[in-house]
Amino acid sequence: MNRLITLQTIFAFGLLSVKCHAQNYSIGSSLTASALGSLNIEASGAISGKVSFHLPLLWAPFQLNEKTKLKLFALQPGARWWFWHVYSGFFAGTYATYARFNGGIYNYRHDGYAFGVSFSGGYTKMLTRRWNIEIELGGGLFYTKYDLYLNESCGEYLSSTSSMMLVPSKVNISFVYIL
Amino acid sequence: MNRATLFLTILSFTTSCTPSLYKIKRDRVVPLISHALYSDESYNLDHRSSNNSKSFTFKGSDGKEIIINEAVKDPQSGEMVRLRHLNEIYVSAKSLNISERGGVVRLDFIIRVPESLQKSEWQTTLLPILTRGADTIHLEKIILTGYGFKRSQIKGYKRYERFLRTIIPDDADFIEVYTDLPNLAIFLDRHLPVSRLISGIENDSITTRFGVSEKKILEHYLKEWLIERNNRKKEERQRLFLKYVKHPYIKNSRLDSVIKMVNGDFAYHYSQELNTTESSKKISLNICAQVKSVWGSSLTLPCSDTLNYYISSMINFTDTTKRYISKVVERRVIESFDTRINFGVNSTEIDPELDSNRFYLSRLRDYISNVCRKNLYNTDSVIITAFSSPEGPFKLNEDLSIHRGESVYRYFKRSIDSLKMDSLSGPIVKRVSVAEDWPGLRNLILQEVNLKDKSSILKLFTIKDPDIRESKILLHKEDYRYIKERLYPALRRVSFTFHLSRKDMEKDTIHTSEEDTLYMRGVLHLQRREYARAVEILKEYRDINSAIAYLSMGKDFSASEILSSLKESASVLYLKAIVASIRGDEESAVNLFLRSVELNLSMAYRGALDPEISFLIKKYNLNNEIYR
Repeated sequence: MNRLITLQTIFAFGLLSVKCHAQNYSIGSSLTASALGSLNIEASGAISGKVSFHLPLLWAPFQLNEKTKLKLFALQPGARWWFWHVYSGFFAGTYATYARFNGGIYNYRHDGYAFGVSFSGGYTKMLTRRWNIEIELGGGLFYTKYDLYLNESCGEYLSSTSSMMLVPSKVNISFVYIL
Repeated sequence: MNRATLFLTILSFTTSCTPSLYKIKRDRVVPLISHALYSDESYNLDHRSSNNSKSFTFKGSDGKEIIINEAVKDPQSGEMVRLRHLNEIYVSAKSLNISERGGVVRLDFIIRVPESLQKSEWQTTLLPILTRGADTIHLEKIILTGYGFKRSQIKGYKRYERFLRTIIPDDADFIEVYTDLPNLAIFLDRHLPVSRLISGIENDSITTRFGVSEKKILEHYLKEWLIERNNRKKEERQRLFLKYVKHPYIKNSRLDSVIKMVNGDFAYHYSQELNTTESSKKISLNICAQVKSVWGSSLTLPCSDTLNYYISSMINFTDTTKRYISKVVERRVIESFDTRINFGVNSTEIDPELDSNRFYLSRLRDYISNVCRKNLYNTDSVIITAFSSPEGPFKLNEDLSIHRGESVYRYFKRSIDSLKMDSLSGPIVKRVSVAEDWPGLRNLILQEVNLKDKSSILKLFTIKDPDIRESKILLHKEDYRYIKERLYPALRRVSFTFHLSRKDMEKDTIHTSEEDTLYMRGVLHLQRREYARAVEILKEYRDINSAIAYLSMGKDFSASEILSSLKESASVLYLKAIVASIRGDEESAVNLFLRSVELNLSMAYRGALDPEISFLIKKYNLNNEIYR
């Protein structure tokens, strides 16, 4: 877990340390992801008036109680096409996802990983010179493989499952700060 | 609901809308007009209230009814008789004589609109139409609007105004109104901080770091749909005006009155001043009326009776006898004729092809033949004077002018011979030559404004020797060139002086009288009622016509001054009476009028036409005097 924190920190500071020309980069955080109990940050950079690259990181280290927990680390690198101009108006995007999870509820605990390709779309509204509010919905095809345990401390291993599925992978209302 | 019921329902709706308009049409209701006399003040009284018969019934205690009446004493029998008030009956004359003063007549008439034409949902428009000769004049309208009608009008206008308010005016700030300004401002602040687009200063050369130009940014945030909607609304103004305002307000009306409560007939005293013209002796007046209802139906009423006005004016007194002015005619007549014949340099022969010689020669021939053809004159002598300009040595010019004079003389002789004019065969022809026309040059220089050293050149004229004088002028190079090109040609000329005498006269002078056309023009102006022009011409003559012109202009002081200097006649006395009446001197006005009637009885009838006299006739009952 320490490794992950280090990685995330390096990543965030790495982006910030790039000599920023105004309006080329942004960092943001999703309200919905935060509400579900995950620390998250999304860094992005524009390469033209229409295209920007995005890298959101999600990390949920918290445990609600003995029986209910979702521990998650996810990475969703992707690109967006902005119909009018970067960081303003409508956009469509595509991204890849890698997620490592360990979550339990009721009787079972799932411990595994997933990766997949998704498509998203959304709208960004400019609030001030520096701040945007953004809504984004996305979903795609995922391959997931996990082990199933009984949901108790050092619960018994039950089975391993792998499957392909179509799932929503982004439901974000985010505040974005333009650098 | 079957078809018949539906039909009946629709029929009942359509007929129920305008039952009373139909009634108006059936009853042939028309507005009435009558003359308004200056003393007539009854038009605005409620006639029904004046109908108060002073008789009432007294019921005695025994049950017997006694009718009590107003009573007066019969002057013949001495008995008391019952006085009975009768309802007033208005008899209105269909024609009236009106007088013209200062080229203007005033028409006064009363328009009465019957009670049945005044309904809350109606608007009655009355249009007085004057006919004067072939002209038709529409006077200003009178509009009576019912309260309900007015309300519906106002409602329509309000709806239209509400629509107009939704149109963005042209002077609105374009950026503020037609763009998504908050987003545009943030975007510019973020990506193009140097732009001053919001302040209205466009600069297409600047772009964002991603190459988006200012113009493109503006286009993105422009609300094109709003511009289109606004333009569409502007185009629809006319259509929506017609849709909302079914009955627009009528402009240029004399009166636009809203009838809230109908209270008997509506009467309006219409007063109109009218300029008189030559043809306006009779003016006819009609009233045309139209009734419109709120629901859109309208009815044009039949025209009212015609009122006729006969205009009497002072010009009836105009004295049209011709005037003559005496003129002195002399037997001897001297006429001079200048012509410019150009000669070639140092040439003495007439060359018709040179410059405009042909034109000047033909003018000379025309003039000669003209003098002869009139057959009024004998040509006694002709003096031909040839001039030359001061250009060159004096001696040469002297020779040239003599020879040129001779060749013109020869030409003149030839023309007379070719015209075969007997009358010109015998005149003495003298030749004169002026070598250098210095006085002529001096005159031309004096009139000239384009010369620089005008005064110093004029000073040189005191030098005696003409050649030295010319050489001195030559020193003013620019001016000399001008003089040579523009002034010298005018000096090279030939002048003819004809000494003529009238054929039919033996005495040297004769006194004749000629018709005074100026005076007649003044009289004509007077008859055309162009008084200002007439006065301008006639004021010098100080006769009855000038007095009439002054009086028609309303200048009674000047008129009376002239009248007092004239010989007494019926017309003069009558005009004097009018002046006295205008000044308020009734005693002398009556005296003068009666004296004029003594001289000419028709003045008694004339007196009724002029308000100044007719009021005296009424006041002092002068007609009795006359008829007796």
